[in-house]
Amino acid sequence: MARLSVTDLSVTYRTGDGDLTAVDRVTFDIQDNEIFGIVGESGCGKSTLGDSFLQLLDENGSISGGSIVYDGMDLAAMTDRELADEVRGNKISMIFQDPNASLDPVYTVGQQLVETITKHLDMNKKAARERAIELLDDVGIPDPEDRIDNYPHSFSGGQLQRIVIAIALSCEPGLLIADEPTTGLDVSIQAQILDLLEELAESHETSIVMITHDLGVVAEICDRVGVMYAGNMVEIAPIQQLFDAPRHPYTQALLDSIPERHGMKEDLTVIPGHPPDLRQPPTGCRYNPRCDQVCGMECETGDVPPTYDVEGTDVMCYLYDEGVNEAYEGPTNIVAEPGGDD
Amino acid sequence: MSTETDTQTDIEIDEPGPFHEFYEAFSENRIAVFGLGLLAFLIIITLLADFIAPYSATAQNYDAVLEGPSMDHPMGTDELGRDIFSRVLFGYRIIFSITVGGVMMAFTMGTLLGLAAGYYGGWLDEFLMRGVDVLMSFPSLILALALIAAIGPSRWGIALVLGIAYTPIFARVARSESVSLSNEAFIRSLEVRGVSTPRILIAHMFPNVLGPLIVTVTLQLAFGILTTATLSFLGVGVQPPSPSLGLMLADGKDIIGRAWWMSLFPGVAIMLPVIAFNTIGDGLRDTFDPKQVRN
Repeated sequence: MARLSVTDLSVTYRTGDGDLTAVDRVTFDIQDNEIFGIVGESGCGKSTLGDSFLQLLDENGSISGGSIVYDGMDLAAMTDRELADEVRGNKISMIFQDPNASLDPVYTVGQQLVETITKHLDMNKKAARERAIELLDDVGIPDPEDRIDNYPHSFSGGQLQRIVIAIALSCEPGLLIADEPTTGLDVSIQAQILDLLEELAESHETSIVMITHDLGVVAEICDRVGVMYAGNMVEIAPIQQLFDAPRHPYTQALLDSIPERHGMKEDLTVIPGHPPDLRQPPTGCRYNPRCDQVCGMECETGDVPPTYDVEGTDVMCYLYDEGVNEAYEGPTNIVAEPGGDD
Repeated sequence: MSTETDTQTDIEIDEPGPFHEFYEAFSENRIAVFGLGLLAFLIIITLLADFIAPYSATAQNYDAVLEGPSMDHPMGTDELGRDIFSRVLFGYRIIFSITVGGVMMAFTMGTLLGLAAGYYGGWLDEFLMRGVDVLMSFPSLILALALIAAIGPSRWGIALVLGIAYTPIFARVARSESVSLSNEAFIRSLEVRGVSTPRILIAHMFPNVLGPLIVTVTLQLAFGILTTATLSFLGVGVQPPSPSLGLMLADGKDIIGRAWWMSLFPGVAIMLPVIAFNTIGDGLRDTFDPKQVRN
């Protein structure tokens, strides 16, 4: 069952030089107890997408269309106050990139855990403290009974991210949004944190949205992955399928540019060109100026391509439309038009 | 068991009290420590004025008019035969209570306004800060004079006036700290955890901006003493017969040739707490400044 359904979601920033649509009509579902990865390069809109779930956008940004349905509620239509009272920390929580800055330096980690627990669960301070110790134990902090009274500065970065995760999961949220949770950590700690997240997702029955630019992270823990380019979700596929049979030319290029896939002597493949300026996006497919597989007029004109279902992969590319790409021989299954239903 | 005890000790050595580092840094600043000692001395003699003062602050004695310093009257007497030493001690009480009251009022109002403005941003920030700019555009003494003219001179009136005149200073300091703090990830993650906005402002932002605000408090206390004394000197402050350091200075200035003690001692008395607050404030600023290199 879908725990979170995002339909035709658009997020627009007002800027001095006109509106910028950072997330453009994105549609996807997150299933129960699933770890869903969102990958893409800097500026592709993946963090904006993550922030929009809890309406944490900057002041000049707003959800300009679509819906985000969680547990029967449309998060996109709720006010800040309603979200704070009913959703944030309680049903959906979020962790960020820099664990060192994610905790208030003037309170002990225990005080911060207890603050969140008593806010959302009907518990007195003593029970909340006991739960806090349990949680610290769950996330692998040694001597939690003693460490609970320490201030954040006396923990290492990896330990702090564990504590941040403990706080995020303290009220048993159904969904955890992790925005680059391992980026500031060294590689061995990264692997530990990812293992921890995977383990906790299972034991707490929490779905996770993992926002990252690191395909290694995605390969490590995600069940399904959405690839974003210039505000579009260009491909959604189960993890194995994405790595084995990438459908979108951008995904293919992205996978080719992973250093591990190259021998020592080969040059690293890079995608030529730059991501487009989203204030004046290219017509047609957003990727067409950099694409090496342009297959017809439609690629360069009109709106973005529809989404096609190709053997279980959702992909936004005319390569899989026999009406555009004459060389394509498989079936054409349009699952969503760019304009949605209207 | 013994190893456990050892680890325990290690942890305690690794983590001295939260004020330890602060204390170390502050105590290195000799002048600030001197200021703190001076302030402690002034506070003690003010609190114990009832026991120390040889006379009442208002008792007149026509047998001892305009007497110079002597064993009976350590700072001499004024033209009504009142003991200046006693009047200075009781004068301290009044000037301290007015200044501390006024600065605390400004601290509370200014900090709340500044934190809210910096945190919310947008039109609230513009509205509050432009109001602050308007208040700031008047020199604080002129503003104080105008306000006193409106509400009439009284002890708590002056405190209120100080509170209003100094609010913008605290609002500006608090706002600038609040703006940079609002962008910190931990404030964002508090929002994500559903912590209410008043709680974020008071329980989380306030303790984090306290350092710079304490510096401002001490420096404003110094200005507050001066402003209170100035208002009294101009005759719109504490009204006679209550002992007022500023008024005593004003009374003495016309006859300074005949009775130098009448203006010298109240003048020095005004100077001492100002020096104390200023040196403490400078010391605290150096201590709280993260850019300061400590060896």
